[in-house]
Amino acid sequence: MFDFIIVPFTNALVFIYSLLGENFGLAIIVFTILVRVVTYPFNAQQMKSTRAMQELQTNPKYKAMQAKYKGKENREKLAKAQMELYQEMGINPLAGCLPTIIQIPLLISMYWAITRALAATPLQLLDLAKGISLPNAANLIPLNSHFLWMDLGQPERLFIPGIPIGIPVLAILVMVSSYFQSKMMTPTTGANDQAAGMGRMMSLYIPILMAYISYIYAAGLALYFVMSNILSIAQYYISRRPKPQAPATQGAISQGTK
Amino acid sequence: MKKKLYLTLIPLAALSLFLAACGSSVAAGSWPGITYDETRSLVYVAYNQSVHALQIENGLERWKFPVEPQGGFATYAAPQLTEDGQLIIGGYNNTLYSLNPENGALNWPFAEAGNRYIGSALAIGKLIFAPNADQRLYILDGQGNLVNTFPTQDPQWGQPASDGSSVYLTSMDHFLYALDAQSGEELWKLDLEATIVGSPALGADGMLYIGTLDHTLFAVDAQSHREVWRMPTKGWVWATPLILGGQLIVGDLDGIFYGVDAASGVETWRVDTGGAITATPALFNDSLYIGNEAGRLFSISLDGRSRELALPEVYQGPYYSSPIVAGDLLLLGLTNNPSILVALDEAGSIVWSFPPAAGQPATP
Repeated sequence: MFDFIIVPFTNALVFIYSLLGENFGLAIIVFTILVRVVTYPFNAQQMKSTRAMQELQTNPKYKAMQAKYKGKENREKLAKAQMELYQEMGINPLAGCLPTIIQIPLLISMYWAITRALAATPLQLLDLAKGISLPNAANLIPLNSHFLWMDLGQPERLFIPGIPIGIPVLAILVMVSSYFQSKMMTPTTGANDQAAGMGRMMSLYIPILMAYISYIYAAGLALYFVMSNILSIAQYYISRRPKPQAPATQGAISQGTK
Repeated sequence: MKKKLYLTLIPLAALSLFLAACGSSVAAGSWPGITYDETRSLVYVAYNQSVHALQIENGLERWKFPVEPQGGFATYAAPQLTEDGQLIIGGYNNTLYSLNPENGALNWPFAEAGNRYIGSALAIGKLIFAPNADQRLYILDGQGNLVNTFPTQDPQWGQPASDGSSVYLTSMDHFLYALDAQSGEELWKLDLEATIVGSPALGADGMLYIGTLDHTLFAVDAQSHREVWRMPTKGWVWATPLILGGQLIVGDLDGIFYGVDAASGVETWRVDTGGAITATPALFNDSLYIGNEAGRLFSISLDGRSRELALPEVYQGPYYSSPIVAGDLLLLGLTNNPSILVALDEAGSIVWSFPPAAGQPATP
């Protein structure tokens, strides 16, 4: 279904793998960074939208509106007034959803690209043979799927002497990082109980879902999740840093050139 | 707000679909492996969650293993018969099984491998040589006891070949290995410079023929363990060549089907079939039969004249499995089709087919 994404993803992964000393773990990490760079404009838009929604909570007009249209019977009036306020403040409340929607085909394609590149079964190797266009592919296959303690083609577990079960370290990291990312990206909607409840539910549901996927699927996908979440959190905090004032910047430049 | 709710739920629904699509435990990883047992007039077909034993005359199921689907169990490699009457099958659950070919009863399992059995095992004398994707060849005795292992640098997907005194093993690590058939110790190895997925073909004159993913077919003399010739091909060579007198017949993943002079490695004819070939052809009724990934089936004369066969639409699909001759029938394995096996007579008419869901043969 997403072959037009999966094939280039697979080729890119194998190409990066060949450049990085045939280390598939590093290839996934570098590839994740490249994906984040390409999708940066969408993510930046989402963060801008999230911040605007958060700032809205402290807006006196918004608070007054919430107080004025209390009760179920005023729900439509409240929604209309909110939309007018959004327009007045230049906020698109749906802007935050686009990056999430874009993530779905990327996620599915990444899963299949990792599976194809590692080609653990004959049908997967045939799929790889059809899609791969690197001239040295015949010498790279099979890709080395080992990274740290993990086999990136298998669900990840860390076995520690004395502990009878394997610990799903990556699944835990995915859950924790997804939780922080969801909390960051979910606007707190104050008086609107329904929306706030939905946001809280998503903050719990998404990390659990992501952790479950990481627990049962190839560790390579979980590594992609962890890296993607870490980069997203870092991007959020970097974008929140106050920008230096223009005069001060000019001063710094003039000092530096003396 | 409703719009936003929908826009949040749509990705979650898509993720759920993703889980459903990717997580199916019955998604096939390979194609049917077929073995004909002339002594018992049975054909064994390993595909997905079961091995089926079918009566060759009518396609009726005699038994299947396991009787009920077992989580994590899947099998595709062609089952192998041992001299002492065991049927060896390899599973994707890292386990090798010995069954009674009469009734499918389990003799023993061997569960010490670390990965899947993708290629078939080879039974020579009292030993069983089972290649595994964990980069080890497991050498067992007839009771399922581990006798030895032989490690390589990469997974082993091809069934070994043997002349009785040596076992010839390929690995994705680019090497062809010769092992002592009694001890499993390495005798020699030869670097073929690219990934090897398929099995070697061994001629009566001691020549080995092996295809690699580097668009090359090699001939290696097992006595001198030196390369005799190499022939470039258009695509990757996965299939094991068929040796017919002084001629080799082999297909590649670009869909080219070659006739090659076995002594010199010179191409004598070629047919473009238009789809990847993973199978070894069968010689049936004085013609070569081969199918390809595009679902096209060909009958080709020994001098390279081809004729395309048209099976009814319900039996079409990718033909990845090697066709097998069973008496006066030709058996074709089907992938991604409700039927996994079709039996054709010499006229090319369907005698029976086997859809595993029904457990009974379907009449044409």
